[in-house]
Amino acid sequence: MDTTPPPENVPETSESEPDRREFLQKAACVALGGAATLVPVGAGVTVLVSPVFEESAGGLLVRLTAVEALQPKGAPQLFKVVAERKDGWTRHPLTEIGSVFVQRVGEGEAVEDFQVFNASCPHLGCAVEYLAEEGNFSCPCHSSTFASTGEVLNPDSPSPRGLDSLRVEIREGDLWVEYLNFKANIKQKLPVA
Amino acid sequence: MKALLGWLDQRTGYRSLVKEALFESVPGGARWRYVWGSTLTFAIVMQFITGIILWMFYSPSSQTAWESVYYIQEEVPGGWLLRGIHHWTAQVMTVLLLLHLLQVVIDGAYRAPRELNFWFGMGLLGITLAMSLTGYLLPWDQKGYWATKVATNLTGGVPFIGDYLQRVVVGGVDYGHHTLTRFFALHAGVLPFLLIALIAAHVYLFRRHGITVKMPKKGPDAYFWPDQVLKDAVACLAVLATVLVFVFWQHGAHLSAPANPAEQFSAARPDWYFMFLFQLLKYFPGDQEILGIAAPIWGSVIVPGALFAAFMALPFVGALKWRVPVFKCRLGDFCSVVFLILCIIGFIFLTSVAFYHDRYDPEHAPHFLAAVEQAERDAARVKTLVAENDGIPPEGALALLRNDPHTQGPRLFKANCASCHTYGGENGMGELVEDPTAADLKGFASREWLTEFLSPEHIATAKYWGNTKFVNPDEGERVSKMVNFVLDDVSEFGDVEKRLLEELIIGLSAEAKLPAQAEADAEAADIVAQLPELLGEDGLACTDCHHFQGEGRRPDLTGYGSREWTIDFIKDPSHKRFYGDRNDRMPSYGPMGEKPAKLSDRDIELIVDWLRAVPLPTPSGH
Repeated sequence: MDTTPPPENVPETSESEPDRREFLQKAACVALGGAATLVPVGAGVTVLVSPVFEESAGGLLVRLTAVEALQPKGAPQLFKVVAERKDGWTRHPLTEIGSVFVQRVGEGEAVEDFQVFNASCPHLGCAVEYLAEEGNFSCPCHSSTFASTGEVLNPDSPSPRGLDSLRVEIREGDLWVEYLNFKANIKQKLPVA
Repeated sequence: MKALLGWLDQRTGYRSLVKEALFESVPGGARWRYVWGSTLTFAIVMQFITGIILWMFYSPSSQTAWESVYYIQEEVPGGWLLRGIHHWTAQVMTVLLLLHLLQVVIDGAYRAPRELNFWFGMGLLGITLAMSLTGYLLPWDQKGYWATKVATNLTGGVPFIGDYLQRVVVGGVDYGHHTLTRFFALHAGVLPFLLIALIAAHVYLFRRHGITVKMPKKGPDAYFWPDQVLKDAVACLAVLATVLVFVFWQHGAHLSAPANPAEQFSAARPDWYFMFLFQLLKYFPGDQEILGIAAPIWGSVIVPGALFAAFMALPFVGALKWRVPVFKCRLGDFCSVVFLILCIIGFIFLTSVAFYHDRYDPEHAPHFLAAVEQAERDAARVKTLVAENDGIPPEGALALLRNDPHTQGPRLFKANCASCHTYGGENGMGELVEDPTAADLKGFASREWLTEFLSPEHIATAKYWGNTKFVNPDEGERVSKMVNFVLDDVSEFGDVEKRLLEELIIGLSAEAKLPAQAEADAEAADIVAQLPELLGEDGLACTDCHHFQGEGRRPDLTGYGSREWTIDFIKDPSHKRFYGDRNDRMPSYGPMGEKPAKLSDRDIELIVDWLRAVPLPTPSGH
């Protein structure tokens, strides 16, 4: 099949020369074709996986409410977490980025008198509800229930851990929370952002 | 492995498919002139790969299209490379298509029995151009917006259905979200689908008829694999290399300022391969008729349509079998090649004229180049603003430009102030002003400005009050006391008074609180603190006439040149705090009793903030 005459500077043409030439030709096809395709594919994949290498911003300290506004030993209350957020190219000045349950468990105004849970279920991230009559939290998706203290209540709960508590701070009479989301569906409580 | 492939082959028969694909006969052996089809396939594969990834970042709406493209270009790691490859491959593809067409006609591959495949090829050319046209709008920048607006307005000229067609294409009567969603669906959905279908048909027919061998054969017959494939691969690599040269040269692809319907972009041009059509339109004046049809319809619809029809008719022309004596070829081939050469000459001619006109025509080029430069300035500016803001506000990048003194100040100055005032001898937008009748405001209230203003050599020149009635009063009025003071008194100042004047200028200029002078003002705090004395009886007695911190008359020098002072002045220079009834021709720009304001508060703020800011460096020319 090889049609080109062998170059002059090759001293002798052995039996296997045409085979070798053809092999080299085929190898060159694969190498050159591969190289040509690799560039757009490479550029595409680099861009595609770029979110993997984004650095996590860490927790965000957000003001929730005045301490006075919370009744001592009251029931958990749902609060929206409002903060500045960068979404791709957009900088939102102040926007709702999630929600938390806040409960003033003690009478005082110390950090330990407040309990704040991230409102997303540690199972798969559905929004948990607080059922006032039962006095516990319940996830509408897969029926996990959590005590008002956050532990898993029902033995057949699919949630691997209790509700995720968040660190709070008291600043000049206001309650602040370090808002974080955690990796779902594992036993450990690992922050994701 | 072999067993696995055997299993697969039994179930799919892929081996015969591969064999058929690779072992196509190439009579006369592999040749470079056969590579164009393969390079086009390669280019299309590149466009699909890069296009699909770009799709994952692109957001088609008037508040997010430019913004998401900006994000790809400037912030996503490697995004510029991806976008650059997509953009430049599209450009190179157009060239490859033309080369392919050239080769097909010269080699006679368009004749029977390959007419249908030639038409498919012309269809593919059309689809590719449609892809380019729709893609040009997607970044929603000034360039794409205004150029595409022209193109869609042309569809409105199509006889009978034009208006409806235009509305369908634009997604309404005006450009907006729906234009983008439609263009995007065409660009990434409808057209690629048609492209694939037509390519499949094109390749099928090509394989059915086999390669059109260019005579004489150069060697013995060979198979497609590996001889021709190797040549194809080398050609594809060369295509890629060409694309990459442009990508790295331009760092991706150009993105001009975000589309602004209120900001005419007079340098809007289609991509280079449409420039010949753009130029063609100029030869059909709007007020003339040809055969009862308006001339513009001829230029935009009939002539290009006839040209396309002529191309479609080539297979029939090519069938003419008589021989042309001198050239010793078939008449059909002769006509086709001559037609093609004429088309190429026409294409090159019209394109060159269009480019030449924009860049070198003494009447037109300055406007075009100024518009390009202005767009470049805006594009660079919006990038700076996005960086300063660490992101784009939800209402879009245009909001950043609309609220930016550096962008709006010069425009507002040109529109409202430059009929009397100048800014560094210009109108704010880089154009010289011939006969200003009021002061040059570049550096207003700065030490340099005041030093010149208060010097006998300068106050009566055109740069300051030379053309105002303070120097040249109307009949029955007197020359302004201020002018007399500078011309008569200052010119006779001794050393002590000269030093007092220097210190007074430093102190008075500090009243303006100019950002650029903040450091110098702080250093001269001792002198600045002396300002009341310098203005008063113990100094140069300015308060004999002027008002300062509760003493004297007008114009008020308290906070002279500050933001608040300048805004109030522009709102009403005839106010008793300022010139009162001695005001020359300066109008009041704020609301005057019943009369609404000439300029909104925000516009006045933008002008003042720009006047008080340090000028941005002008970008180096392109």
